[in-house]
Amino acid sequence: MARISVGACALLVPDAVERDVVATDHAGKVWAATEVPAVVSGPKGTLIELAYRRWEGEGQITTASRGDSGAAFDRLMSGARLGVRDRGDGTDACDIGLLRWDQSRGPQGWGNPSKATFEELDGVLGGPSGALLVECGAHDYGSRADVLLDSSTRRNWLTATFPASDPLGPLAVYVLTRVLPILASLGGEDAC
Amino acid sequence: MPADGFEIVLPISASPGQVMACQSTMVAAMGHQLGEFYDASMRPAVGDDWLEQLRQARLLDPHPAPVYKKKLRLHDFSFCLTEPAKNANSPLRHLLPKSSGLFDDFDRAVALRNAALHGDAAYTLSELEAWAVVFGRIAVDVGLELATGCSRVRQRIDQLEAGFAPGTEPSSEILEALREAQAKAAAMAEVIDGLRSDLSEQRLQGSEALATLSAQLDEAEVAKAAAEENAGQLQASLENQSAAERRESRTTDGPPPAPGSTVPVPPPGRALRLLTFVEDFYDPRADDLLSNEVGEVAAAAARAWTVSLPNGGPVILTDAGDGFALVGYEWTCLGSLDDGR
Repeated sequence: MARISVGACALLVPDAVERDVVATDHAGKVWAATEVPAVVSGPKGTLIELAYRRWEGEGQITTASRGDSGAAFDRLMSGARLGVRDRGDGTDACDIGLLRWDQSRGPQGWGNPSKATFEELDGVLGGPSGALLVECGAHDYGSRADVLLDSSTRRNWLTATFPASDPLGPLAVYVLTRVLPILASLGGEDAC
Repeated sequence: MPADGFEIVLPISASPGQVMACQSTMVAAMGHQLGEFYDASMRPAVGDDWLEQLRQARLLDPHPAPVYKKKLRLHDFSFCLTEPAKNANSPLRHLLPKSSGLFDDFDRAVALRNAALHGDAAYTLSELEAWAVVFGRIAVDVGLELATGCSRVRQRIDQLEAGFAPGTEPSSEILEALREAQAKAAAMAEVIDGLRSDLSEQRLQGSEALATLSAQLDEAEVAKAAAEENAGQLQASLENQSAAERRESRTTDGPPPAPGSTVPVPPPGRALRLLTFVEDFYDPRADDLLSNEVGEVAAAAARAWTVSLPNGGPVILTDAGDGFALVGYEWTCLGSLDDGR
């Protein structure tokens, strides 16, 4: 089993647990997929179950259950998924957008992921985010322009590439960019 | 590199990864402790910039060694051994004992490390024994703490050759060692990230330090892989030991209660949380999944016990591996962890 500290949280990924499931992509298309479950534990009684689903050419990470964790984590049950793309060379890439959490929106707060900088990620993590990515097996990280030679309008988004067979990297990115921003809003300084 | 030195990783098997893990920490400890040993005398005598002064002096040589063409690092294993060994006028020689053969051992240590770094090594226990002898002799001569570590390495080699099977320690100790191995892998990731960044910058500048940085990066990646393999083996030991402890507890406590039977109060045990999606249990005391301690039986029990607890929730797990939970209003036995074996 993999166990990685991501800020104040621990990401726990059981070994050899891969299940066959049916998944639906962003466009509503149904795929035969494999699913790897994972758990995030953290302060304020946070205990979240994640699902990393992978199908032909891409995949995504979603929150499957928030258990008794803060109600704000319902946001992750209804979206803010992290997409993963197969690069066709044995690696996957996932863009690193940061959830901008606004506690004043709605009864529990609301936010959407948007373009981030490594300084922002370091701040959310409370340490060097690059080292976290390397710890999770990242081959490379940086802007899409640098890493993927992308010249589109998303070229300045951050991205990281990981071995396609290993779910750990994308799961850690999900915890960093989705879970930690909400957790920070729940509990003051000991949340992150 | 961490400032608090390095604890030597003792091999728990004769696998190449275990040997590499041990060797990597011996190299790091030697560099760290020798560097500190030199610094304690050189800094008061020559000044805070003694390393740079030494480098500038070496650069006056007609053919300075490549190591002097970049900033010297106090804890660099290669520098700490080759500077006094290769330079008769090295100020570091005055700090070292006049033992006969010390500089030959310095050369041997560098050769051993280079062979391992460049793939010219077998990563066997007998090779590790040679390392422990040479590194240990240097550590004893100079008075480094590493001497104790090398002595422990030789003891462990003897144990492994005699058929010692790790896993006889209490599971709490194995868990602690596992955490240390995981922390070491994380620390090495930070080192690797820094080195990759340095390497990238130096490439842009066309610097001559590229080869050294590449070697350091290779070394760090080997150390990270070794720490990860060590963690994997410790986890296997943890599962074996945990099963042994449950069997022992079963012998003491008697036969398991029947699944579905009820008790007025739950027996003593630890409180876990059944996670129905992941099909595992979360142990808040260890901040970990139960499968990390007991292996695949946790997933089988989670699937079986979800029939009684479809939404998951708190479960009491006894030392013998029996699960109890409030089902309706009654404390009910869910079964044994080992039912699925």
